[in-house]
Amino acid sequence: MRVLYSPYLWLTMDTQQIAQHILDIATKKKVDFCEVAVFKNEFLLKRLRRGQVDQPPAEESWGVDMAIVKGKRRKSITFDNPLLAERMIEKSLEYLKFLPEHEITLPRQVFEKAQCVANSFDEETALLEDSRLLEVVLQLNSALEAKGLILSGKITAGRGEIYYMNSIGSAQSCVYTLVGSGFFSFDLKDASISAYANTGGSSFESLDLERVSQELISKCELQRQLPKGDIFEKLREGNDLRMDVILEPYFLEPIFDWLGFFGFNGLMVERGESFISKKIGQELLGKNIDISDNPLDSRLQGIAVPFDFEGMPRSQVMLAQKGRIMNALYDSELARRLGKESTGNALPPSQRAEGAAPFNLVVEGGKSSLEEMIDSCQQPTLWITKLHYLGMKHFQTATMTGIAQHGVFLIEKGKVSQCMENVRFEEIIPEALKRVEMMGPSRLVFDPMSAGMPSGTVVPAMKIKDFRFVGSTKRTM
Amino acid sequence: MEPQWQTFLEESLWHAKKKGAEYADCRLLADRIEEHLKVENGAISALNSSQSAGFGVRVLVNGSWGFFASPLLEKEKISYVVERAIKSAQANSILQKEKVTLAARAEQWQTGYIAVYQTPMEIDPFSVSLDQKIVLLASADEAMRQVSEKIFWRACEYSAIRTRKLFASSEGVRTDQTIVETGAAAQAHAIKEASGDTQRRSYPDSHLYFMQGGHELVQKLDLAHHAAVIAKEAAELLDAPYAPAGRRGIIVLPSQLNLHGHETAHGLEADRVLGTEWTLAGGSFLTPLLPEIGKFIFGSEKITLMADSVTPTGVGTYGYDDEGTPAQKIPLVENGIWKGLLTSRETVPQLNKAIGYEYFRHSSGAMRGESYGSWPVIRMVNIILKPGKKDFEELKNSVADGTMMFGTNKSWSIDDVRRHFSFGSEIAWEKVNGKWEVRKNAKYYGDNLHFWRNCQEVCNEKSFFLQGVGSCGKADPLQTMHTGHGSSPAYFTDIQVGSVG
Repeated sequence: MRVLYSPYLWLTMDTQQIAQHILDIATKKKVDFCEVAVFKNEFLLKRLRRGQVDQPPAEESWGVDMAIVKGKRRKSITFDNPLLAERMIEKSLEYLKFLPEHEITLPRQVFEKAQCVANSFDEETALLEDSRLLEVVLQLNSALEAKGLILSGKITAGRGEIYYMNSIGSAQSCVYTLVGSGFFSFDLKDASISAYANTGGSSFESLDLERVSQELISKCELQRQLPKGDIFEKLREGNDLRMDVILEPYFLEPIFDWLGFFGFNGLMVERGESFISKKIGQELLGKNIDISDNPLDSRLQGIAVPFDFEGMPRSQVMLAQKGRIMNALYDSELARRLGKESTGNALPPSQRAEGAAPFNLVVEGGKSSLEEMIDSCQQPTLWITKLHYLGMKHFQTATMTGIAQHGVFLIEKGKVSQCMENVRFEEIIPEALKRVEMMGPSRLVFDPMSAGMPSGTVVPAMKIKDFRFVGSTKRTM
Repeated sequence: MEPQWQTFLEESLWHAKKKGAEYADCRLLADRIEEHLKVENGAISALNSSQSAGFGVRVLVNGSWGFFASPLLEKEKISYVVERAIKSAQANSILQKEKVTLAARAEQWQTGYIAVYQTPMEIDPFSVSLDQKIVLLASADEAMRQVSEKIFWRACEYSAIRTRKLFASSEGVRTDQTIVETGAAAQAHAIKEASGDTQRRSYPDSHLYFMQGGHELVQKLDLAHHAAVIAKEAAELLDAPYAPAGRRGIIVLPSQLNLHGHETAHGLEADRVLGTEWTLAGGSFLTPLLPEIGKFIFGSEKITLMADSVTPTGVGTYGYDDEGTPAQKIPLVENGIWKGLLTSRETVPQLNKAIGYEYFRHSSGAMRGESYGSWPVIRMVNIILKPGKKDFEELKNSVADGTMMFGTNKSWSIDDVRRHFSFGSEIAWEKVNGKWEVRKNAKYYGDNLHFWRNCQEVCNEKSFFLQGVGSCGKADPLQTMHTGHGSSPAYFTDIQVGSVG
């Protein structure tokens, strides 16, 4: 293929043609191996404050993430304009000469085409119309205003393509659309009364606005009606408190994401920094806990990529089954070092030093409704909506801390009795997961930080015994 | 500025005006190159080069914002990008209840010429050969390896970034800035085979250390020497007792205090105070206190926090922010009294409305976007805790037995209004019989106002440490930014301490 320089030709090329073109350039330069991931996406986002658009970021973007290998030397390259490809490759080849040699595992297997993720692309959503996003906001605004509440948060829509190709013949592609949101309601007069809800999927059709609206309104109304309390009011800092909790999926999603990345990442496991290091096969979680990484789970609503960034088709990988740790996650390099098989969790070429990660965690739930969980509370229990600012206190035990927000309620004798001040937890998460008493149905939690890749987590609400709290905050003076 | 870029910017503004924009600006990233090198356990685990270019156009139409961006720096693309921004603004205006107004620029902030800012540096990091960089990291790696067999994982990194960004606004502001940032770091991880316990130490800090300037800043780090020191400390930590629990006096060293200052200063960002940041980072406890600005007691009289975008080598230093406001140095907290906020042109009138009078006159010049495609948001510049008078050694000698001292940050979390925090450090010391003994897995936590109000002493400039945090996340979609932080060791009383693990 001849070298193309016109930006207009680039614009008319799809991700496959660009990946092929970049591979051709690298091949001409006589590299031993080349792999290229090309990302193309466009998104609109409406960031809301007090019911109006405060910030409207939007862009079309390209991203190329590639690696070249010559002899026993490897280098990765990233750039966001395909026009830069030839220059970047030439420069990288100059660099390669100065690198010391070391053992490199090159992929030998040519992978078959990955199975498509069902419902990952929606034509109407792909139109990316401002008006469609604003209709959603207007609808929620109107419902909230009628209750004396104001709307903040965001809604975003995006469309994209990802193409992976390497020089031994593996090639994979996917197209996707996504709609994601994170909405907050605040009382017009008292900003300490607030609620949060999110909804998303691969199309506008997947938005569950009725649920969102109901959650935003009912939680704020509860806070208006109930007396306010602080569970730590009479306890001085340093006195821990163990209480039963009902944690909503919004609270649990970041915890499982961290458990996935820091706990099941084969690199962390190899280094002894994970809670499963040297413990694979052991029952570290409760018998009712099943966790997998599964792009094909229908509850993801199309928010998944069916291959990893070595071109390996992804399928379900069981991480924990009935509480027993089944697998860590590996790319081919990690797998070679540890004498394992790749699980299809390779990160893009420039990020391989970070290990291997899950893209679509699925935590199996149960059948209990929130109401049933509340009814079942005989001991004083905290019902918590959302988690803010997760921190990893200790990697080897997966001890995490964070603070509750946007709706913390005390349940006494099966009734919601008080609206509580936000509390800080510090908990050994695997130990807490041995004390899960009830679970709700698992569902997609999707409030994406970017439109660059469709990746979501499916998680239930959980009722957990004796969760550990170490303090509470003060939002007012 | 090259003529083709000047023409590009002018054409963007011309199209925006023609299509009805009341205000427009164009940020053009002419070039951003990055180089990252990582050596782990004697082998190169990452060598990455990256390059980026593109432009973004921000417009105001009917008092509503619109924005669009593209990586294709082609003149033929201008009209399309502007059109998309205008359409976005027109659509958004359906929801607009309060029209966006921009604070006036100060009279002395001149327009009509191209203002240039370039990072002063001695050695361009991109002119230093890869060989030299590898030798630098390999020496540090080897220094750690030789210290102890308990060091099972060694990591050394070198990074350099050069950003050339151009800006033009419909108000006549034109800027051309080239910013170079360079960083390096070493990290040692030790393991106790019998128990599987691991401990880590980092130098100069644990958060993607960067400074603004050239390779000379990395040379001054003396990486190999300090790598050996941290490796020794990591090995020692394995056998150290856990940190005690209880209310204590604590000395916080800059490698921890700078991050504490960072997390606190998020609450001093006007967009968070006004409620724009809920989707990612949260709000601020200062929101209901806005009418008390200028009077509210934030900390003890020892506390003066400055927002400084002019200090040399800070990664929050520049000539102009991303809406063309000149760099400044303003007090956020002065002798304990809350005095200021990090602001933008849009937030100044909104803040004044909430305060009830014209407290703020101009933007503090804190708007930055991670890239051309990022909506610029209020960012910390260099947040400086002003040094006091006491010598660090004198402070260490003067505090009582039982005092804890916290080193390099390891874990961090703070609530959504910046009140309840919990920080862990890689290393801590407890004063026992007049001597400082190492403690592991230490943490301190509690209420942030209580913390700053209980500051008894800030040490002098001899122990001042300015660092760049390379991974501050904010905005939506998430933007990662480098922010600068400087402090000297400081002493606080009545703080809850404990340990984890």
